[in-house]
Amino acid sequence: MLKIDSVSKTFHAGTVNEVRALQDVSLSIEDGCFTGIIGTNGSGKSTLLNAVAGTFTPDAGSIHLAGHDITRWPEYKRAALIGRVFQDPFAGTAPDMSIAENIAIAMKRGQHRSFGFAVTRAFKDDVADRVRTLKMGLEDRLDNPIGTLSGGQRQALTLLMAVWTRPKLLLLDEHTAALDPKSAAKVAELTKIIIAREKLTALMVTHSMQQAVDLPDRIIMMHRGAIVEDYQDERKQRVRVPDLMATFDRVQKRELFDESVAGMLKAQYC
Amino acid sequence: MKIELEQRGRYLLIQAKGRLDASWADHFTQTLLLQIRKGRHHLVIDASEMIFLSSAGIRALLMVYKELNIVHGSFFITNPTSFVEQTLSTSGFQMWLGKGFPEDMPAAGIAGEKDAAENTGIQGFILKDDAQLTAAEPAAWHPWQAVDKKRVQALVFEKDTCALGIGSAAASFEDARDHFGEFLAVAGNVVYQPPDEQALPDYLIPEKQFLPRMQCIQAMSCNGEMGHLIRFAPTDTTPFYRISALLTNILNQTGGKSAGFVVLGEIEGLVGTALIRSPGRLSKEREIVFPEIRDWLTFCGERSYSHQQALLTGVVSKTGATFLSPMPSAPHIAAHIHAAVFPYQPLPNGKIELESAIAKFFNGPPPLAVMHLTDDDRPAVGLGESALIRGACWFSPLQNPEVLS
Repeated sequence: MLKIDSVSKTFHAGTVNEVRALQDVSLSIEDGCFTGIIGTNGSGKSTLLNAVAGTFTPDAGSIHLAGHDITRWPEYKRAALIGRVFQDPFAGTAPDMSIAENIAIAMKRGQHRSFGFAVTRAFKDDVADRVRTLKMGLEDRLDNPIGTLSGGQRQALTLLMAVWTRPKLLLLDEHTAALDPKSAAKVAELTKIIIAREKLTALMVTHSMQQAVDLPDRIIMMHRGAIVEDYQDERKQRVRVPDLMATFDRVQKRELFDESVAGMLKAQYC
Repeated sequence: MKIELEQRGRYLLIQAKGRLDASWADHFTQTLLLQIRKGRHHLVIDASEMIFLSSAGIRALLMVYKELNIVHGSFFITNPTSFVEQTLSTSGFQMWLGKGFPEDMPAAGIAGEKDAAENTGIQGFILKDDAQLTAAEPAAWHPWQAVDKKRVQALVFEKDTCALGIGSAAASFEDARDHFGEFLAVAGNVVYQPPDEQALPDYLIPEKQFLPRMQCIQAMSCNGEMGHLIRFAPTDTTPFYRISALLTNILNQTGGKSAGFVVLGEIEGLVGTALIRSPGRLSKEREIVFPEIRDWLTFCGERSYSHQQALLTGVVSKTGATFLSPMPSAPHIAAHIHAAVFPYQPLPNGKIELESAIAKFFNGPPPLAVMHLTDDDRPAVGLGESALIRGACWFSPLQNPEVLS
């Protein structure tokens, strides 16, 4: 279970560039729940993901994952519990190393690593079996440098590597945003299949409303560093893209509802 | 396909050159539907250079034809190539085909009337000269009074009633308590907005023995016949009609008497507010101020629902009353208006009947919103008042205007 309790983060505090990126954010995600985070630019969705990943330490609040208080843990230590896929398909892999070698490194994430022989025949057979589930024909190219693959193929492999050790939490940071539409659809489909198959707890930031509707079990909407909507259970089942757009619209309308509007309505709302 | 449009008198001549096939059918349809929406209701398609017509093309023509039928327009295809003529004839659409041009169609290069669109400006019809409405205010909640059972009235809306207020479609006060929101009722149909930012407007349609019924904490109703009808459409100088202009017209025609009205019209922009929390949750009367007010009311924030269709109903008077607010943009008018927004559907031209016109919308795609219209007069940032592009306005004077005071 992931439990984020009253987390706040302000960047450049006390300067003209002060940004209150997270404002008293609380969120609990049950084991096995796939949660999507949507929001406008600067709403704090990636900041929240980074707070969980340990990219920075929050100013206030706490983060618990799988029974551990990880609030003060450094990023590398959290990597033992957290798998992560970035927006850039070329991030998180070594381009000159083979597919099998990249996977060998990934499966040791969070563990002690040595110079021992990593890619054995048995290991490669296991890798081939798992890579075959991607249905991209990559199981026959395990010795090829990963840098020779397309963005979509590489992102699919990165996803597979991120879940190889069955992390307590999978973080997906707009992981299809840099892909062409066909590859993005394929990786999105794989994401849903893999998370369901492995029964993973996952947190996905996305700009795609359709993806938010189609993939996760729950949708969090953020605005100005705060959670403004939480679609889960039957509300999530019912929600469609126009509903999400309407919710964005409502959030923005609420911002436009200032004291002058209140004064005008006081005279006219009868 | 190349489409050239030329206005000749009341006719719009469409030169359709090339292939009217699946690739061009949608573009062709949208181009012509837009012209119909602009009020050009007599179309002549010159098919002398239309070299091919597929079934997709016939479907496009059929959609245009049906739209023109709704508005009582006319449509025919002249000078078809032999391929087009044969295709239409063998498909059973020979009734669209004609030779030459209509007799009253001016020659090329002569626009004819200044604005050849149909029914421009304002047209008035007297439906029943002595018709009057009987007003009643059976429930009179005012913000932000507490709501208890005694304030609630169960109202049934007959076909000769138009009404507006705050209510809930529930069987009892207990069921209604958390669901009071803005509603309007016209010709027995009710549309209301549950007080939840995420809720869609709901509606009740009279069927057989069923008459819509609402638990109301606020209601103003007008019973009787509508004696007047105004049709309004844009002109060169009046691209749209502000609500205050329509209401001024009503008051002028009733000799300044208070009136009840119903308007159906294409929206230029609506400005309004709606409850997002039920007043039934108020346990005691209190003033609700900013910022808490944002938890009770939503405000449109911009001129909304442009080019959709609005159904408005309300009461207008020259004197203010508790139920009526003076309009800042026309201080000589006080009104209370609720609007329901429906997806656009064209209205027939000329004298149209209220009940059937309303029924078409309630039996069509579902409503998009219900709101209480406001006139946003804030300096510099105000959104102004709501306005409509074209439509129909029915009204009658109130025989008992004292109810408003």
